[in-house]
Amino acid sequence: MSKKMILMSAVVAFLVAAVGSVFAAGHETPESKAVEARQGYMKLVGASSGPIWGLLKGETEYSDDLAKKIASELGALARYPVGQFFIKGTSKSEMAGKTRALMKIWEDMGGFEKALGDWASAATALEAAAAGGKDAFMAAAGKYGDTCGGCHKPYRAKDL
Amino acid sequence: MSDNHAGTNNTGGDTTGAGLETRKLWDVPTRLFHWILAGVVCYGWYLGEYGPFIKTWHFYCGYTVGTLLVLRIIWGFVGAPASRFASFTYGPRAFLDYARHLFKRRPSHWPGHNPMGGLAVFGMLALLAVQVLTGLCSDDDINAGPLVPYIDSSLSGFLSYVHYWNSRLLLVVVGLHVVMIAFYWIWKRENLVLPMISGRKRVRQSTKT
Ligand code: HEC
Ligand code: HEM
Repeated sequence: MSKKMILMSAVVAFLVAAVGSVFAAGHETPESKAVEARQGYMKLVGASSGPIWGLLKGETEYSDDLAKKIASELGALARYPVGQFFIKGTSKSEMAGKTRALMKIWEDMGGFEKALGDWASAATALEAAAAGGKDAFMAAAGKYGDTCGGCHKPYRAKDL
Repeated sequence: MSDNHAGTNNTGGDTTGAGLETRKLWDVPTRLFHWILAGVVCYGWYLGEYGPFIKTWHFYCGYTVGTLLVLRIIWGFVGAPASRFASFTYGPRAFLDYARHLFKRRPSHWPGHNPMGGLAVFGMLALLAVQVLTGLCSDDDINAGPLVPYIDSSLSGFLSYVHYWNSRLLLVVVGLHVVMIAFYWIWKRENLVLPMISGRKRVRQSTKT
């Protein structure tokens, strides 16, 4: 083989490997899309709940406007049907390193849906509470916070 | 090891009645450390497991435990003889000797931590250090340890996982510690709890003058 041939084959091999890895990494499946969607959703839940933790820890000053802002964001999220992204084949057992959702979700779908329902009703209850002043809102916020653990403890792994 | 370290100059066996004395064994800082630690660890464990989802008080317990650990490590080098690490670091021979006498139904009159007890102390201090350090890096998306912003989120996920499983391990080792003390009380008829309160224990006479 000439030097040129060797160089050419090296370049071709490199390109094949590079293109291959790009496809492998960026390869989207219904499963990977569902995982990304629900993680994105949960990131929004986390972000919009942040001010609630601030209020409960006494780090943030309460105001009716803040309460209404939090409640409308979380109310909107609660009405969004996130359950559709918990499709079969997307547990941590099947997609290790990508998701923290435990297989238990699919083994105990009834319990999972109840946890989701508890969270959603606690979130919508914030809307009514936001109209009722500080004490009402803080009480509803305390109930709301409990519902995260109600799902994370049984159904979510600590690590990816 | 010099012979002013209680526990190093004994044969490892239980003694008969001869050559006993009641003397001060555990100094005040060691006793305070022990009981404050026991209380704060129990309360911190309870809060972590069953407490409110805002973990502020769990964090305070953890910081207290961390501070106590640092003080105890210092005390392990400068404290009273029976509190020094060197006085309860034993070789394999001492363990064998200890095991031979373990089931004898009489008090050990041991002047300090026996080999197994010493090991339990090191074990509990190490597990607690791991518990506090991983806690500083744990995150449950509501509460985040103070080091979480400085580390990768997958590392914090892993350390939260360790924080969880190490807390189970801690429960087992603390449980064993308590079971052994009950065993000494019931089987060997030696009360080890009172000396940790009063500081005074009936032990074999030390050979030092
Ligand atoms: C019905 C179950 C359920 C409830 C209720 C719930 N979560 Fe989650 N959450 C999950 C699951 C499952 C995951 C893991 C998703 C994955 O990795 O695929 C998760 C992940 C998250 C994440 C990490 C998202 C990421 O990948 O970066 C955050 C943040 C979060 N939840 C916040 C919250 C907060 C805050 C609450 C309460 C206000 C809450 N969640 C309530 C099920 C729930
Ligand atoms: C005595 C030391 C400690 C003990 C015994 C302890 C014990 C526990 C326990 C039992 C849990 C519950 C785990 C679960 O069921 O999910 C927990 C959670 C937690 N602890 Fe600690 N902890 C200690 C110190 C700390 C410290 C110092 C911090 C940080 C400042 C900390 C931060 C956390 C956080 C953020 C969680 C929630 C993590 C999660 O659920 O993933 N802990 N701890």
